[in-house]
This record gives sequence, C-alpha cells and structure tokens, in this order.
Amino acid sequence: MVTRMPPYRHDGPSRVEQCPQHAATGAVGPAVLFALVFTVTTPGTAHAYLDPATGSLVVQVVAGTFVGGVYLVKKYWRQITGRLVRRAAGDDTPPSAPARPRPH
Amino acid sequence: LTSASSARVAGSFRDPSGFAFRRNGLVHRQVNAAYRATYDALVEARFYDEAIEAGLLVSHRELAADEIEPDGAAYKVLLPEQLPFVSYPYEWCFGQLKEAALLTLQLQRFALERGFWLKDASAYNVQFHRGRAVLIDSLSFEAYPEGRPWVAYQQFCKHFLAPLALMSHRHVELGKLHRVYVDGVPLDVASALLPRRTRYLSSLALHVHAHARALRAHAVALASRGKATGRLGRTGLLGLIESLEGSVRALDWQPQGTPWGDYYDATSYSEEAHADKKAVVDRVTTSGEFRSAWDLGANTGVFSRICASNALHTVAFDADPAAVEKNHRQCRSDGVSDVLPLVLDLSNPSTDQGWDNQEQMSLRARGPADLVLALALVHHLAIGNNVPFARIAQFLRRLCRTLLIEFVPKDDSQVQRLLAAREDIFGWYAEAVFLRDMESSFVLRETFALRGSEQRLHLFTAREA
Repeated sequence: MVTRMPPYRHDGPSRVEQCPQHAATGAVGPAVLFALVFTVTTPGTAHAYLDPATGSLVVQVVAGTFVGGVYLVKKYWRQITGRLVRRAAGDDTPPSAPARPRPH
Repeated sequence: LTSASSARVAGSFRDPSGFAFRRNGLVHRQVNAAYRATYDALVEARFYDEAIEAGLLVSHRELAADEIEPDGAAYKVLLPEQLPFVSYPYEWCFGQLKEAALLTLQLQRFALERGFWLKDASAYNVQFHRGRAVLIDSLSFEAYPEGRPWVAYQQFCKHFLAPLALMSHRHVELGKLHRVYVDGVPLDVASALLPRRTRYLSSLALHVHAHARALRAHAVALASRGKATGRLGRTGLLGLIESLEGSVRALDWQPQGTPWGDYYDATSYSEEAHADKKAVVDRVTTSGEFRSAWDLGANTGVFSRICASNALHTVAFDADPAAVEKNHRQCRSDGVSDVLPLVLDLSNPSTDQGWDNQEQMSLRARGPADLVLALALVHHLAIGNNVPFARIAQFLRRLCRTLLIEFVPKDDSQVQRLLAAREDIFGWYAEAVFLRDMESSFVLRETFALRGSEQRLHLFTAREA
C-alpha cells in the first residue's frame, strides 16, 4: 500500500501576486509568465527536507502548462505513429506491456 | 545505535529519513522510524526489487534484528552492496556527469510510474559501480504527492544541468565548480557565466536563466510575504522531466584541444619499450597480491585496463579532462567495468570538504590503495610542479602500500618539452638522487628495464609510518 501525502491545499488567494518583485521573473515571454504566476500560485506547506525554493516552484508551475502540453502532443504522436507502423507491418495487436524506462 | 553513531558517515546528516554509518568496515544505512510508512510502502510495492533489478539502485539487504542492535530511532538497518571507491561530481568527466543526470531523471520517471518520486536529486547520491551509474541512497524516495511541483527541481538544475551546460557551452574545466559549491552551481552564477546565445535556447532559457531570475525575485518575496507554492499536475511533471532530459541529452562535449589528450600519438616510447612496460604492469598485477590499484596520471587508461584485466578494481586518475573522457568512453564501449576514470590534479588533489570539512573525503582519506601506478608521472611533478623527490615520495607513501613508478631521464623528449621555455633549475633531477630520496619512504623490491629505452620502472614497498 502506497502511503499518500495529505491532500494539497488550494485554498487561498495568491500571496505572491502582491509582490512587485515578479517584474524580474523569466526570460521567456515575461508578461505571459507573470499572468500565469498570478493565477496559479497559492500558499502551501512543503514536507520534504529540501527547501524547494519559491522561485523554483513558480517556474515549474508556469512551465508545467507548456511542457505538459508538449509532453501530451509527443505522447499521442508516438501512439499514432506506432499504430501506423504496426498496421503497415500487418500487426494490429496493441503492445502487450507498457513501455519500461529506457536504459541510460 | 550507540557504537554505530560514532562511526556515522560524516556527510550523511541532512535527511531525517535515515543515515549511513560504518561498522566493522562496512557501510550500513539506518532507516529511521520517521521513514517507516514510506519504507514499508516501497517494500510492499516491490519498488526496491525492481529498481535494483533494472540496475538503477545499488542493491541492499535488510538486516534481521539479531544481526544488528537497533536503537530507538531506528526502524530498520540496511546493508548495501559495498562500493570499492567513492567518487565525487567534481572528479567526474563530462560524460560521467551526464550519465548521472540521465540516471536521476530515469529514476524519477521510474518512481512516478509506481506512485513515488525522488525527494532529492543530489549528484552525491550517484556513484559509478560495475561500469554504470547507480543511485546509492535507498531513502531518496517518497510517495508522490499528487499535484505538487518537484521539490528537487532546483537541486537537479544546480547539481546537473547548470554544470553540464557550463562544461558544454563555456569550458569543460567548469565542472570543478562542484568543488567550490557543495550544493551545486548556483543558478545565478551559471546564468551569468553561460554565453548569451543560451538565453534563446528554450530549455536552458527556462531551466537556468528564467529559473535564476525567479529564485532571485522570490528570495526577496519570501522574506516579507511568507511561503508560497503552486500546483503542478502529473502531466506537467512528466513534461518537466522530459524537458530536462531533452536539455541534458542536447548538451555535448568532444574530448579534444587539451595538452595530453593525444599523448600516446606523440610519445617517445618505441613499440618495444611500450610493450615491455605493459608486460611489467601485467606481471606485477597478476601476482594476486593486490585487489585495488590507483593509476596516477593514467591518461586514457592503457595500463589501468591491464590492472582491471587481472581483477584489480582500478581508479584511473588524470588531470586532463579530455584524456579522462576518452578513457570513460573507451571503457563504456569495451564493457570494462572495473576501471573508474576520474579527473584529478595531483598538484591540488581533492581535499576533505563540505560541512565541518567532513562531507567529502580527500584523496588520501579514501586510501591507501594496494598498488599505485605512477608511470611517466614523476617528471610532471618534479619539473612541471617543482616538487622535490623526497616530497613526492612522502606523498605517494600516504596513498599506497606498493608503488610501481617509472623514472623518466632528463634527456627524454617529454622532459625536454617541459623544460622548453624555462630555465633548468633541476640539477638534482637524476635517477640516483631519485632512488636515494625514495628510500626514506619506500623499500626497493625490483627494477625493470625497457628495451630500447632509458626509462626504468621501480617496484617499491611502502615503509611503515
């Protein structure tokens, strides 16, 4: 049984929204980044022993929308091309097991 | 663990989940009661078994209660497979750091597929063992808290991505920044040092440059506004890992343009002398007397591989990152698993450092090796670094029990190369003086001549301290 962490709280207005320092954040589309930061950043509690650093959390939350989208597009593209290749090879059966991590 | 605590591994103190300690010469890992629920979940999910089977995690055995006496804070004690040599990121070549980075990301994906994630991403948790990178900290995992951004994202960028980017885009020697910054290269430092063009590469622009700016901005915000965090779904997290992996894979460095990378192409040895030298190393290492060897000034590891072929675990040190990179790639392509190539400048070898000067061990603290090879090295130390023979002998005495050392005479072309642009103040550089000064630290066992060469190899036994 996997131990789950307490549900993540998403219960308050953005605190960082009030901070004028955000004007310095990011080299990629600063205006877009800040608009996203203002809408998705909320207070919470970190339980790990590392300090996650607020700036790192903000970058992930902002970038997550984009890199997550790219990830989904690639994932579905790989599925589609995989099916086409199998169909061209005359094998319509789906792969028997999920993909394992690639050896490095 | 009263006695165990006294032998606690000095660098193992940050994570409250447990710590490493030494007992009877073996490294153990204590699992603290605070980690009990997570540890049980990992065992129940067969996570450790699968990670070990996949070659991602060093294997371990859970000790029974009658094998070791746990104290109140201990839940379990693990006995990991023992590593013959511990190395550090500032001693790795570019390819090794890249391999360690990809392993960390692979483990993060592997864990997420099973409902866990990495709660830290320290390069010091990775070691090279049996010819591949493996994670050594079995307590680096916890249940994946759905919706939470990766707590170790900054650590990954500081320990892996930033130094790799600096080595690839600026200079390979910048890998040594790990020695200055014990928790990885600060992202603002990396951002300032990287070429301007990297600001327009999507991955480095995000993970290094924008990341550095955000850290700077929010460090100020935290002080006055309190904690802040946000939500990152599983898809976003997987996308982040894929983006980091793409960034790491895109970074490259080719081993060329350094002083000694092409040494064997420009060597002064005849084929006969080179063959004889190999035969001497083979003869010395087939005796069965030695289990470990350090090849100092190993270059691309020709003689290290002979040691390894005779079942000695061999660490191949060289100051030239190109030579070490070539050695690493050759070992990988040939499937050589008992040679560990490392970057080391003998004029300034790795020291005890980190918190209280105890987190990372000096070169000397990781010895002594059963056998040290110092082939075509002494002239670099004596003439290249102005170290008298007696000081070289004292230094080597502290590193080994037995020494195979080559004396290269002054009229050799490689020595003349070192003297080409400087005044010859080395009137004492002669084999008779060398042998006399070595005698204070070593006892001479045997001397080997090489056909068609003035170089000679001397086998010494270290005197008791």
